[in-house]
Amino acid sequence: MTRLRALIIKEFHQMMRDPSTLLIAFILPMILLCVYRFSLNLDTITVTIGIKNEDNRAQISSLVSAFENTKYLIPRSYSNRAQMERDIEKGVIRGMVIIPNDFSEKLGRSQEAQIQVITDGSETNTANFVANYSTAIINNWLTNTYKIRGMKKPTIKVVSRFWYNEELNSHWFVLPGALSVIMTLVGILLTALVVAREWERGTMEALITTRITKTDLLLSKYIPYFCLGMVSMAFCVFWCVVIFGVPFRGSYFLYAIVSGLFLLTLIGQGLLASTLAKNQFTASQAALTGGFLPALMLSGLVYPISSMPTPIQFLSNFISAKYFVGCSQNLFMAGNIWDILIPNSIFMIIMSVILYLLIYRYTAQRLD
Amino acid sequence: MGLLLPSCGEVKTLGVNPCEQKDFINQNIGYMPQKFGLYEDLTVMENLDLYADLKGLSQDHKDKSFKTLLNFTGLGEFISRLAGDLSGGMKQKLGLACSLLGRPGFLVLDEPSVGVDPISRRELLRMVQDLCDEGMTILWSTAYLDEAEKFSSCVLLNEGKLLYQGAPQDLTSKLEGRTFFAYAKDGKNRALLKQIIKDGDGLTDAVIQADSVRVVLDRGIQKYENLDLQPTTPRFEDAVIDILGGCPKGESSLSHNLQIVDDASEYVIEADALVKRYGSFYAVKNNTFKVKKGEIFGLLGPNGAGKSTSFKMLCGLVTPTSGTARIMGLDIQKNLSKARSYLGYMAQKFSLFGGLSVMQNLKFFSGIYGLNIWEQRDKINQMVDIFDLKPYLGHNADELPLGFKQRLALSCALMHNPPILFLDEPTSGVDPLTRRDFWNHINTLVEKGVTVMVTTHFMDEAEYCDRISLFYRGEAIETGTPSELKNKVSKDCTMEEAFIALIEKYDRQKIQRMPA
Repeated sequence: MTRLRALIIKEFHQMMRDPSTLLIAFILPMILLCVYRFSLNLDTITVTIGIKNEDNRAQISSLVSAFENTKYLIPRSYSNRAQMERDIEKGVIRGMVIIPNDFSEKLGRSQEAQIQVITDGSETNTANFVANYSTAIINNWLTNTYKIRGMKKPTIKVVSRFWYNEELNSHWFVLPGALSVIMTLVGILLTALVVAREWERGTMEALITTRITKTDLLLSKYIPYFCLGMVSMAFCVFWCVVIFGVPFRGSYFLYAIVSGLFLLTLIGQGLLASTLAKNQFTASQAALTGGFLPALMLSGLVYPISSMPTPIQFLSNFISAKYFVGCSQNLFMAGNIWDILIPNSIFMIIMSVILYLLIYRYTAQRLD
Repeated sequence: MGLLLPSCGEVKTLGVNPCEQKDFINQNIGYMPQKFGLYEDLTVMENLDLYADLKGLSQDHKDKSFKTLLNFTGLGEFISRLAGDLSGGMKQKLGLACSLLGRPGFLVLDEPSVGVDPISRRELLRMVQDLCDEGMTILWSTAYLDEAEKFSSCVLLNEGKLLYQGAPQDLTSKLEGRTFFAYAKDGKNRALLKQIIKDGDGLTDAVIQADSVRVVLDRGIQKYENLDLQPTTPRFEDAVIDILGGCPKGESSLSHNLQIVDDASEYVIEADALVKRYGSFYAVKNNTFKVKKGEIFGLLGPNGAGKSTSFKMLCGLVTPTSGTARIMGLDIQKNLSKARSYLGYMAQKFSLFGGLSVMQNLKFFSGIYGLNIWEQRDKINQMVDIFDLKPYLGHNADELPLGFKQRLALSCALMHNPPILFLDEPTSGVDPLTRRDFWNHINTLVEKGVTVMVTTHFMDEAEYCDRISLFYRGEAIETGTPSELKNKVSKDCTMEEAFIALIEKYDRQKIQRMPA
């Protein structure tokens, strides 16, 4: 016990004296949170589209004005289709809506009337936005027109509602998810260096000739960085909730428990890289490419896991950030949903135990 | 110690197998690894505290041992200083203090004196001697033969094989009557050495020692050609060379192949009031010296004394805070690339491309020095001949034996026929035979008019130099020929003794100069 205490005190001293530790634990997450808050914007944006109206009947002009009355689309009228295609190539407009000349005629006869919506597929997000939004406008227009005339409503009616994020503030769900990516970076960067540093400076050699056990050594790395990581996590949540005004609907106590579990998997990954590499540079590279990048790509935060190919979906099961993204978004936006929290926590527990055992297995007690 | 598992064979330390009874071993052995095993970001006291707790000392016991150890090492007034801010000598003492916690019966020191100034080294030896007198067993590993000479028993290892085991004195005394000094009549000891080695019959070893050549003759040989030999006492290094089969003989083929440097200027390297300041720390204070053409000029001093910084300012790798460095009369700051074209630079650790083959390294270096394809081919062939690199051409530079790495690095530095050669710690970690071979090449270069500037912390290597500058705490405290410096202290002292005496003198003067 004395030995463990001595090692932990040593680790805390080192942590406090190294300015880069505090930089990684507090300044880095702050910067990243700002980046996610202000630049990763999945919200609607204002997009210019082209409209070519070939149907000259009076009732269609109200459809055109429906496009003009939205906040997010700026319609531009064209009479020449070729000109419109050139503009979409140049990127002046991001989509085009073509109303064929028999549109109102077909509508009047209650036939299936078609409107062509073409979008610039090179920017998927914008394209989806234009397509969805245009469809919504047209449907809306359709409903209103029929209401006014007291006619039978159209056969298909699409109603979308957004749960949990009623105001469609994408940062409300981006930030809680981003916490997992940010903490992955912080947790791994902090710990990837600590064992390798002991090897590089020759202190490991001195340590293993004292009577410390492997458990002493491992706990002396886990405990201080766990504490620091939790403080850093609390700091991040504070930023999200207080400064960026993201609502928090779950229990802070539960959030602390899941964060703790998540942190254990991260410290495990960092220490494993550090233990295997014995070299600070290799360890940090391995930890970043093996930990941070998969967390960013495969956690489901930015790219939906359900749209990935099956092997990659399988791979994403080994990314602890995936489980934390789920927990975090739920605790922030939906409250304590046990069906999500419990399985995700179990996965994180299993992962951290496996990592601990691996590190234990590879912690050297000799130099060869 | 149980840190490495033997592939076969058996080890017994303190009567037990160290791999099986690690706890017992760790409790009873004090171990100081290379680089001392200190936490640089902890203070002296925190380091001691940590290691005391790891050894499981009680509070009472701790207080007592701290007091004795701080007293013993003289670190008492530095307890709240960070270990990283200590000088090399103090780090070494702190490392020793940490390994002595819990009073082990057996102390293992791994190269404790590397990069430490001679005064601290002497103090360490004294402290270890005291411990020895108290009944402690001490194992000290070292690459310095003059250190090994002072111990009561030694084990001599070469390429993993045991060469000798026993008291160093026993080995040295076998050479009684075989060691001599030879003096050249015209004072040209380098030419004399070359002549002695060229023949090589009946010769065990010959090296330059200040203004003479130290000669060791084979058993039973009393005379050597027509040399005027004066007997001297043998030292341990002579005996080691004898065991290793004698020094390399013959002539460096550089002598036939290298064109003679012809240049009018008398002083080829000039340092004029060089200062390098990092924040409030002066790495180099007001350094002035001139190096003549065809001279070997040495910068001698412990790590951190400022010799490497001076060196780097002279080849334009570091910008001086003030003062000028001139190469062949050119201010290096103003004519960097022109001045650099006069320089051959062999860096510490050789800076070769480990993943490239010897041939690829040669091609690369000849290419960056701007040789055209035909010149490259000629020059590379020439270097391969001179340095016997042929059998290794296809090998990666990483796989070469140390001696060949050194040769390859030297040949890469010589690609563009530089009139000036800079060598930064060229022979640290190299065995004495390879070192001799290397210096034979350097001597030949110097004979051809090449000027050589070298940094070293090997005191006996300094003897090869024509003139040396002693560096201590950022200042060149003395400059002169090796024998001049020695004579300042006493007639027949070693270079190390001279260095210590000169430093102590400097420190005394400094105290006097300080205002009361």
